[in-house]
Amino acid sequence: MLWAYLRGAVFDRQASEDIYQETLVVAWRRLDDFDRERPFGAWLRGIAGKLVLAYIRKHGRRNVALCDDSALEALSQKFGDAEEATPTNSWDERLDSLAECMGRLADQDREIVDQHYQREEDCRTIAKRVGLSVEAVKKRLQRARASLALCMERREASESSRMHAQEATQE
Amino acid sequence: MNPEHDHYEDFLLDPDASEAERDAQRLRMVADSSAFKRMINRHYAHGLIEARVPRNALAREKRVRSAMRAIRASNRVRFAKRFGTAAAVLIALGLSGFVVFGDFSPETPSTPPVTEQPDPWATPNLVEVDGPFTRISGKVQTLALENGRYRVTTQGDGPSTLRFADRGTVVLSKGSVIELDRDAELVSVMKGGIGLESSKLCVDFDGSRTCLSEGIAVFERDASGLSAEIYRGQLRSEGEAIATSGQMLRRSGDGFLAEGSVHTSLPEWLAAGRSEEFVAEIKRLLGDDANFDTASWNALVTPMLANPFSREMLLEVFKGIMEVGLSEDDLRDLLQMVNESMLSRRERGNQRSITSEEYEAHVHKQMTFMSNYWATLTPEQRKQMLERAREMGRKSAEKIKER
Repeated sequence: MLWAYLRGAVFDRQASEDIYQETLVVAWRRLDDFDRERPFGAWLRGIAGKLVLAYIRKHGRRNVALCDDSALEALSQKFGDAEEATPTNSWDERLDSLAECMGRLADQDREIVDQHYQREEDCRTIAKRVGLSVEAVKKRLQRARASLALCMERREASESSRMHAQEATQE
Repeated sequence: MNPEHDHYEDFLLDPDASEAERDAQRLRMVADSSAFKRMINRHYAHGLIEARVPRNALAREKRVRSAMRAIRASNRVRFAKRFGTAAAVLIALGLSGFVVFGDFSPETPSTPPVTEQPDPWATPNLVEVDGPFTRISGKVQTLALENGRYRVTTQGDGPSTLRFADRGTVVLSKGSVIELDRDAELVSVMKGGIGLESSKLCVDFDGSRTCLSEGIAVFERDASGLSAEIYRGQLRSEGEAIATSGQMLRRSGDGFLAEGSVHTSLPEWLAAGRSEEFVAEIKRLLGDDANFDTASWNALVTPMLANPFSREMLLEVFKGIMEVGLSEDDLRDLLQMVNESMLSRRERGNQRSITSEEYEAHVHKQMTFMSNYWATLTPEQRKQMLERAREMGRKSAEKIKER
């Protein structure tokens, strides 16, 4: 999830990769500081968040989306909530869940998401292809992201309730 | 702010957005908590979608390797003194993309339907001979055929292993039948499956001579014909590579069809066959003085050898570990820990880099490093590390079971 977290916070891929790499190196060096009682993923995201801020100080904000502590912490918390809601879900399962949520998007929205993320097409190219204005394409991307986040949240909540119910039955 | 954008809020994720647009959005987010929450949700989704794109994973692997190099080159890292818990193992392996940042979804491979066939191998009225092997483990029957070839049939309940002087080994699954020529250069799979680990052995692929170059492959004959699964190295025919590691090969008309395989681990019978020979070698290395427990060594080594690592590489690592002067018990504990914290996590959907020589080199370094480190620990520290590794192994097994 570290990579997803960084991609959510830093929109420039190269910068994300640099920070990802540095996070792992710092984590390795500072392993003694890791409190075993705390979730490992949150600890890594904490390091990554600090490195994002350090990156901004060095290179400016141009390549980074979330530029302050509170936003980075909120995003980390969002990933932490997902992990907590469905602790047994693997990363692949989360991505499968996302794929199912994408399947529920309107056809054109899904096509736009696919073209933007999968084929790396910019909004202008997509707009020409689908016959919409550039702003409309951006708006659809925005709505698609919001729908996907909501869908994931619901699935996690439902999975979490199912697990609790199962635990209660076992008890 | 651009007036055209009055309905669009994702300027933070828009590569075309100006600094002013981004700053304006940031200010709005600070002022409006519900807008802030919505924005975080969109960034969460954006991160997940980006992480789902395969090319990123490839780039990440590249960066990870670079990170590994940076760590190794770092003279500020004091492994032996500071490396206190198995979390270090997690990080190191996370760097290789296997544990922390990826997860594991064992694939359930689909198997083609098998139809019952009469057993044509049960009858031959031929002379039993020794055959051209330098070593055999398990029970086999070897017959000299009239055409100058040998037929080898497994007889025991488990796999059998044939070793050839300078050509490598063939592990036969229970009930398999192979034929080979007098010089043991060309193997034909008549029934069942064989695992080939060789430098010079070639297999008759229904009329084509295919040779494995420094690799590991499984050939299996079932109702649909002969197939080969390459776990390591390349399979070549007439000098051309026809399949590489991670691919499954079948006949298609006069040619071959190679496609991606979902198997990341060797079949159990092959791992068991490889293990038996390997354990015998460890026993020899430890010497007669060691109180050698073959069964527990087999249980330990078999899951390791389910990985398509070359046994030579592992043996070399073992020799290195032995030079550290660990007792047999310590050595077994160490391997147990490596097993539980690392190798049991090898199965990962579509993750075929496990078969690559690069990964093998990584494992080699990792294990050597671990053994050197292990030697510096007190018994109590070793116990703690093992407990942690076992806990991780249990959790991983539970997750897999739940799924």
